[in-house]
Amino acid sequence: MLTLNFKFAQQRMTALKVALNQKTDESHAFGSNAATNGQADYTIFSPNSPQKVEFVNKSQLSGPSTSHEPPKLNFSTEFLPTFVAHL
Amino acid sequence: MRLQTNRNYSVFGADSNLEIEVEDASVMPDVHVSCGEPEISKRGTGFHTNATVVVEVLSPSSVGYDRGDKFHRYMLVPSLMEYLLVDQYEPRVDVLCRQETGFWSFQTYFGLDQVIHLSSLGVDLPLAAIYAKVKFEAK
Repeated sequence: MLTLNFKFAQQRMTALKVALNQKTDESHAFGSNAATNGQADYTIFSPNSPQKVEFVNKSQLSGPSTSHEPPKLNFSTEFLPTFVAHL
Repeated sequence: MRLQTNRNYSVFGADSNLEIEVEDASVMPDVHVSCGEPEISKRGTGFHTNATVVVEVLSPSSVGYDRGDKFHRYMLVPSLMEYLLVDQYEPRVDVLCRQETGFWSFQTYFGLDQVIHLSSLGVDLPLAAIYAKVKFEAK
């Protein structure tokens, strides 16, 4: 049982590391504040602790970006202002 | 980051969370829009429990998540009516829309002449405006 728990913790840590790396990449692309704040994309709150438990279950992600093509649509300077202007 | 609009909408950028109450969890949309005032979660001001529209701008590393698990989580937000997936490499926006029956419809808008009608907000969003500063290479 101990081994299983240890394995589970290891998997979660690996998922977190992968996700943080990917979020950093995404943040670079979009200028998002999410990664710079160190916030996870998906957060599960622990019912037994006042502190939230953060991790990103992104094992289903398509994997690290293989494209070196720079982003064309800038999220913060192009998409967001345009979107808001139409509301 | 709360943004002002001409109507009674509250628009939030990528630093705000949307709570998935049934999972006791939260996710971070790129953009979410609430009609009227947002409902603040017990977690605090940065966590909202209602959103009418959510937008994700797709990146190569997140596209699978945004179309899959993340969408499944958004579906658990009862107030959510429309979910937009915005491609950044070509003028394409996928819109998933919750129907009265509970089913979700899927429509792709492709081309700069297309105009998305967001029925839940009553606004039109031309792709030409979204991609106004983007130069697409001829294929």
